[in-house]
Amino acid sequence: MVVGAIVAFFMLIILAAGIAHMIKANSFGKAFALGEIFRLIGKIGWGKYLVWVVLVAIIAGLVGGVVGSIPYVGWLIQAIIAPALSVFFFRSMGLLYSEGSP
Amino acid sequence: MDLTQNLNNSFEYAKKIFSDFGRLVILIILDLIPIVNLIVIGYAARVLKESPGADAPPKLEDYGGLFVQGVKVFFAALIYMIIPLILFTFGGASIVGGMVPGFGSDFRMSGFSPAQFSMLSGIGVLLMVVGAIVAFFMLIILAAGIAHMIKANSFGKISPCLVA
Repeated sequence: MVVGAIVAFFMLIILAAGIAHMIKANSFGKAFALGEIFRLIGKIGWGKYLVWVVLVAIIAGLVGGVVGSIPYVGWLIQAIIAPALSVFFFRSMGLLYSEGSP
Repeated sequence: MDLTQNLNNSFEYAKKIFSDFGRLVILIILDLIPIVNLIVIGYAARVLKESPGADAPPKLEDYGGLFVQGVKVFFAALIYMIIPLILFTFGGASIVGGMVPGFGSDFRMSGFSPAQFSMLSGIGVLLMVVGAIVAFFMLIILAAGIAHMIKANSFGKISPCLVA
């Protein structure tokens, strides 16, 4: 399970850029065009990209864990902010993508 | 744009979701219903597609198109995560197998103590897990290697593609 978590982490790193590439290029196959994805991350900068992935994971964890654990109303607050949070992440990835695409 | 600017811009943008109450309520309700919530993922994907051009979230329309986009994002994520999911399943199964006496195999017949048996099964699972990881990464390189070999008409090109 530990190995699973490590692999999941590495997959998540590629996943965000992969999905962004798929949406921008309007092609499902582009989600797995690893060469293009690695070039994209390279142009953004691996350091910057990795910090972004970690920040996004922390924000998602905080909202999921802290807000979700508020008694009685936690689930309701979560339900209200969930769509806004998705929009926040995808907007942020969209801005990051534009830095890496020509 | 540095990361602080990026996150500030995204926060200001996401705040605008709360300015249209009707759209917000529809998004919240859609997000609570399994499968239908893929429309919300599709909507977020439209946000990504329009960024950085648009300054405000798009209108909530073309639900069919949003759903299709949401399905694509879901399956792309699933394909990326399928191997970790399998590893989690094996890992979980081995832990359960180690804890429940006699689960799956009669360790008394094997000559091992329960602790040894669970340790051995753990090692077996670990090996399979490592094998799966190696196979996965090899497949990624292999596909590109074979394509490069065919294009370059040379068997030797199967590995130098890693440098190219």
